[in-house]
Amino acid sequence: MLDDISTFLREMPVKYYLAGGLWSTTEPTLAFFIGQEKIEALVAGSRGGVGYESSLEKDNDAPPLASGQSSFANGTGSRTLSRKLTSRYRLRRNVKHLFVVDADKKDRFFGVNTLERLRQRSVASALEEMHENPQQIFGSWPEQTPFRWAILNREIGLGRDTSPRIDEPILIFGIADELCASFESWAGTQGASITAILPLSIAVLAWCNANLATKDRDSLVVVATGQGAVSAAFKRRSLIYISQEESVADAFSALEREVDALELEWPARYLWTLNNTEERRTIPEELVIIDEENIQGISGESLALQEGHGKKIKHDRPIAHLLNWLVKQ
Amino acid sequence: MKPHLVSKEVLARQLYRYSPAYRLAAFLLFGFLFLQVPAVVWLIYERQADQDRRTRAGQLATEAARIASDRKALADTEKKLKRIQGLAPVLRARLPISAVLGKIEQLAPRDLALSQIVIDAGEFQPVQIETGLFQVPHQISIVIAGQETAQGGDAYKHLAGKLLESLPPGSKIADTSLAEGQPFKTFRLALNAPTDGNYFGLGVTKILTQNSL
Repeated sequence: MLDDISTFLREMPVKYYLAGGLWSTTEPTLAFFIGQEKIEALVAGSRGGVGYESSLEKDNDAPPLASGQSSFANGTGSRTLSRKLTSRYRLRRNVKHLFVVDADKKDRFFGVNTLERLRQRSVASALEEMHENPQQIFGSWPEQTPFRWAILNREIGLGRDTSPRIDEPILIFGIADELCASFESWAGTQGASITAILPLSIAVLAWCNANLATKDRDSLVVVATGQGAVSAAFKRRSLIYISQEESVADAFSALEREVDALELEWPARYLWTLNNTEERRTIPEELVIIDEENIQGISGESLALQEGHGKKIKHDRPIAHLLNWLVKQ
Repeated sequence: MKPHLVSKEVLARQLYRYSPAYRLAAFLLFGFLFLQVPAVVWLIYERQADQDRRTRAGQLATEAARIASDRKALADTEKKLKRIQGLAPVLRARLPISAVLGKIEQLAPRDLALSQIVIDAGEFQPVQIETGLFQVPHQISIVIAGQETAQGGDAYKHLAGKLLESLPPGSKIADTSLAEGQPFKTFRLALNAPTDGNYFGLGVTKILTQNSL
């Protein structure tokens, strides 16, 4: 008891309390997309996005890149980046950070499995075992780097507690501990709390399952990022397959090979790309590409967000819609 | 959204921000600290005042030391002044004889012939002063004897009344007597006056400034 009190007195966030946190915990969210060389951020109030910053990697106080590199000397300015953004968009000083990371292949892991196959009885025990001894869970785990792990249900519900049956598919994902720690450390210098750290591909698949017609029809989704492509198959809203590939073409090829094995019926095909690439020419014709042209029809709205210069402009790139959707979850 | 991939340490720290129990504890703590503000202000004020007092005390001690050093040089003079002060009861109990005589001379009517004026001190009390024991009088008696013509009336009584008015308050006529005779009647007046009264009525004037000494 005394230890708890002394720890509280030592660790209590005085600045946070004095900045209004004592009365209200409703805080704006800064949702960062962290790429290998690029950092973007959506600034959101209580009703969703209000501003968008498309190249924060140039800022002196930018968060670390997905490669683990810090852009410049952190915190050398008189004001933190978070403080600058909240001032620019006239939001409260206390903020939450959400990191969506396009991590290098060696720093991330995705897999669909069941507790039964993992020989675990619950999600908690599976997470503990993955943390303690990943080789035991995955058979051959090449990485010596410690990872942080999370398990989602087959609907990829980001906000719900996962308590699947032992034979139900679950989505396992992880990111290198060092990379996550660098974001936590940076958020600490900003005086911000952290909502979550999510791999880009998982965030996109969650968005797709919530916004595309995966309920009505089996779906094949390929997420193309700067670090290759991730292919996923949904059977009536349930994720049943996920795999990492080198390119979009490889991802669709892999999916085509698995369609029969996965017992998918006349699946719809979707492509979510971070950037417009020439690879589109090599992909199936009946494919729905989620891009600026059709995203308004999918998400039901066009995003008009203010930028640093003060003018509101349309932000219909898929990443902006993804970040805006995530801050509302 | 669940805090996916956020470490337990960070989540534990974030609990301090969002848990109502911790926020209530922080509120109570801040409230308690806020209530201490007047006490802290008072303490600071007292400390400042105490410091000022100490500084002042130091200055006064220095000043006292300086005065004591100066006073040493005046010790002899002070001793002499004390002796003079010691004589005060003796000096106070005195009668300006010349003034009394002058007054009698002024007041005596022409048809009175004074044959005897006796001024004497009485009711002595001992007073101890530095140089010894003194017998200090508290009453002065004035006896005037003389003759007046047989047709003179009450001229001696007039003299007695006027002299009594001139003497200090508390003075009184102790005796008046008249012996019949031809061609002159012999009278005798006796008055008592206190020694510590003021004698302005006798024409004594106050010394106004010290320079007049």
